[in-house]
Amino acid sequence: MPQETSPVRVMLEYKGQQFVLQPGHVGSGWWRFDFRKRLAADSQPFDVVAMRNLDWTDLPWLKMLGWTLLTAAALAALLSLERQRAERRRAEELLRLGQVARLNTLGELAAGIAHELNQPLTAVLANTQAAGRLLDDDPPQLTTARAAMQRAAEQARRASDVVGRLRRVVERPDIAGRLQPVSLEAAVRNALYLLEPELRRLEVKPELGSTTATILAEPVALEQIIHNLLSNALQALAQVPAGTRTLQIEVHAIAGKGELTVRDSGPGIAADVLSRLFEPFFTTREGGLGLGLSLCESLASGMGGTLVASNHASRGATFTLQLPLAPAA
Amino acid sequence: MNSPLSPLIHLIDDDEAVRESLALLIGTVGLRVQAWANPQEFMAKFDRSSIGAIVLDVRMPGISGLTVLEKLIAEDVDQPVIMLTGHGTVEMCRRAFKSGAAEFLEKPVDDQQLLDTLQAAVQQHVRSRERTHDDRDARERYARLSAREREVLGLIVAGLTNKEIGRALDVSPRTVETHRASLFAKLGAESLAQLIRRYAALVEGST
Repeated sequence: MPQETSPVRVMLEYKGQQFVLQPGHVGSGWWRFDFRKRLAADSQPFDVVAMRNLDWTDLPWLKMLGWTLLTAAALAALLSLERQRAERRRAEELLRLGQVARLNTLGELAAGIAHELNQPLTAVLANTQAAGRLLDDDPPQLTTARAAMQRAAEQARRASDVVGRLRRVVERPDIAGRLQPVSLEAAVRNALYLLEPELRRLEVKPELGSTTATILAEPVALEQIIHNLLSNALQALAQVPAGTRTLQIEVHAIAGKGELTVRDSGPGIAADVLSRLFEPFFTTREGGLGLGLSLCESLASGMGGTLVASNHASRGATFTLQLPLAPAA
Repeated sequence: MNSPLSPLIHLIDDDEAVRESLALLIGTVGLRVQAWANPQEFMAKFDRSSIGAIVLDVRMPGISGLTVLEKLIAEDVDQPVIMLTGHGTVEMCRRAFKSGAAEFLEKPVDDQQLLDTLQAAVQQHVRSRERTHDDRDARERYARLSAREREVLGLIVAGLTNKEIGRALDVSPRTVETHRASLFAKLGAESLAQLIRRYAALVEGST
């Protein structure tokens, strides 16, 4: 800064005497800054004094404003990020709760079925075995044995009624009436979004092709099938080392059908398992109910489609879901 | 067996078909069966003094079989309780045994398994009743002894001879002999060995 325009006055002081080195425009501001330092030489113990008076107008208002705005913006961004994360966490929590609730319902259902069937079966077994013992008696107690056999038959019929009732509850004949055009690709993206925590945990980056197809489906049933196929793929991938996990998802429209293929690089499906894959209550999983894929298949066929499983030539399993294309609007 | 009647099995299940068929099956081996549809009614009315066992279904409307089991145990009912269930979980099984169930069987139950379990339970109950009966009898007889006789009995159980007992109690061996004969009679003991086997625990318990 040139000496003439500098706002700082520099002086040497010694016992009240002042020697101005640079007069400077100290200004008339009310806020005075000064700085003193004694020179270290014993022969000349001068004080060096630098001083300046500050006024409101001297403050760097623009820079201060800029800094404040920048800080506020950064803070706002941080808060919104935190809010987003909390929302995401909540959504994940809700999803997990939903799954737990569904599992509990299934557990309750299984316990109920077990009870409903075990009662008549207990009676059938006890009656027939009692009849056997009565016939072994000497003399054989024919009348009582015959009555026991008759009661056993009644109870066998009761068991079969329970099964019939159960089938009518589980089968949903009205699913075909609720079909509507659905974007297969959008449904996949939705399912992937829900599974994102799981994908991240397993370090799986799903590869989703760019093609799409609009099919006729019942949205909830479709979501359930896709969710099931993707979770199965993830469980298969969890069994192989992290670096080798790939998940390829493709959507095509071919010959009047919309086709979704889900291919994982997991261990694949053993030959003896492959043939029984869609059987109800067949499971290879510890604690599995064996209902997932069987349900998916009946849902798919209820919507006029198919679900097929195969092993890939190199490695891993492929599930192919086909559903009728929606008629062009 | 003590009772002139054959052992009585109480069968509690809300399902009529199950109740009838199991009652028939249990009857084929000569055990008497009393079937109950309602656990509350069973709890209120069943004969607690009878020899036998209780077969209890876990899943019943209104009150769980496990709750009935806990109430029976809390009441000091000594009949062994066999639990029956259609879908036993490990947790349920654990709770049943912890509460004092004698056995835990899954429906549908095989005849041989059920009948073997019942026979074993009945035998166990008969033995435990005999033991309680003997214990009570011994306690009653012991209570009839005089203070001096109890002292003498304590010293006999401790292994002292008549002469030593006389010295210890500062009486003549002849007096000891009299006390000894009297307490043998009161306790109904036929030999020294029997006396010690039946009363040692009581003597040690009272000192």
